[in-house]
Amino acid sequence: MLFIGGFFGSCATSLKPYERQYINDPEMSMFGANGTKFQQYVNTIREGSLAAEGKKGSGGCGCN
Amino acid sequence: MNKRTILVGSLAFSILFGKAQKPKNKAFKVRETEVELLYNHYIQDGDNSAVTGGEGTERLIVYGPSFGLKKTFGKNGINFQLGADIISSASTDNIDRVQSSASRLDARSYTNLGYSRYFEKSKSSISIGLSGSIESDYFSFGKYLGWTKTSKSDMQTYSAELQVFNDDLRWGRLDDGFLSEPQFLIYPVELRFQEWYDEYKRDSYNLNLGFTQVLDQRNTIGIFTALSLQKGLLATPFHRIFFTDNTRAVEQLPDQRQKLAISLKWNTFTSGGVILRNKIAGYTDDFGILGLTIDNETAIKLSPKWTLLPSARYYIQQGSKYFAAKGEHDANETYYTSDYDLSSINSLTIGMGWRHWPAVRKNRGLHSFSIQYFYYSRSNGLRAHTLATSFNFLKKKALKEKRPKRRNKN
Repeated sequence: MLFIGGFFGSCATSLKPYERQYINDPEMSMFGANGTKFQQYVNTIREGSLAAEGKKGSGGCGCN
Repeated sequence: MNKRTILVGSLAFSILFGKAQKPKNKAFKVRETEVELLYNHYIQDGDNSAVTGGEGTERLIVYGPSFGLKKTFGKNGINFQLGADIISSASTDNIDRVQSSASRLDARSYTNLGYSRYFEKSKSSISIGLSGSIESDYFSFGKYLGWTKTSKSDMQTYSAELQVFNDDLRWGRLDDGFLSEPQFLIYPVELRFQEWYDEYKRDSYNLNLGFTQVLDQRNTIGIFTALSLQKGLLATPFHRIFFTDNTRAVEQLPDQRQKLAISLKWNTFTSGGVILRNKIAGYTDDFGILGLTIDNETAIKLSPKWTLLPSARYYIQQGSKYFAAKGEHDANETYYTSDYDLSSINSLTIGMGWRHWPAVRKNRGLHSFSIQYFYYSRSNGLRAHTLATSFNFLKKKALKEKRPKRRNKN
């Protein structure tokens, strides 16, 4: 708990708008674009697992 | 006193009387329309088809076009997607062992429609949506409800989404035109002498949670979890099982499955214009499957208009306790599968692509174009190629501010 608290405590508390140019770059998104999303979909079909951050969960198709 | 001194002095003196432009105190409103045209092409081949009991061709080609539309107007947004996966499958043809039968070519059509509303005061948004997909032996109706919130400092985001899918595995909806009455579960041709299941529905409930934290100007981390509960017919009716005593049956799996996935992500924008998106993820379920993923996607900004997209992913899986290869299941077992997707495997995916932004600042027209290729290699011999292309069109329009009406002084 102390480690996690210290880790987040060392983060910047805020960024000014002009300091966000890198963070706001589209390539910095936590969710992939089309090609990555489709390959994630392929992975959930061809493997027995589930992607945690994928928009699509289980169900909706005759796959896993 | 020379002319230069007078000029400089006059300019310096005039600064005392200069006034800055008054900032506009009204919000700038934009109406945005985004159209995305996608085409995904998938080819695979292998020799462990579950349709033929764990041995046999897995050759399959999928042609996957789709259309997406997103429109935001003020604090409201709608999104719509319509797509089709046209599937040519050699293993599906082995269900009834008839060459060039109707089962050789299948199509899965899908659509989803969503609405979102942003609340400025709390910096949060609510989204709801419906989805549907249909193919010859599967129908799905889905709904979702989502919530996201950004902290006041814009340094953290929280998200939660609940998805529910109600699926029907009966065959026949595309048999006689479109949306015909479903008829029956489709079993392998030699095993149609009895009903193997007393259920034809499958329900899935998924809860996805997410948290992201901006660490500094160049680093963001995220934690995501997914919990899933599935009930109903979880086996695939046309998957064959060959027992040690040479008898046959169809696949049997429990009527309930609980899944848990968690992933940690770290995105960093390095000083050389290279963005690294790193992920490590774990998975477990009550079928006995354990999975571990290590993934990296890189974006190399060659220029403001061109970005290179190499990627690599390694996955290792401990298989389900219900899995055994062809001819290795005992007929006295309760549950059994020879589907290698549920076996102990490891896989490697490598990819390369590029993204192009035709005009960096442009309020209409082609916004970006990307093409990506992935090669997938699985330890049991399955090989797959994916080609994903995307054209993204964007139109932004500033909404005119309403001028207050002038009062008539007379």
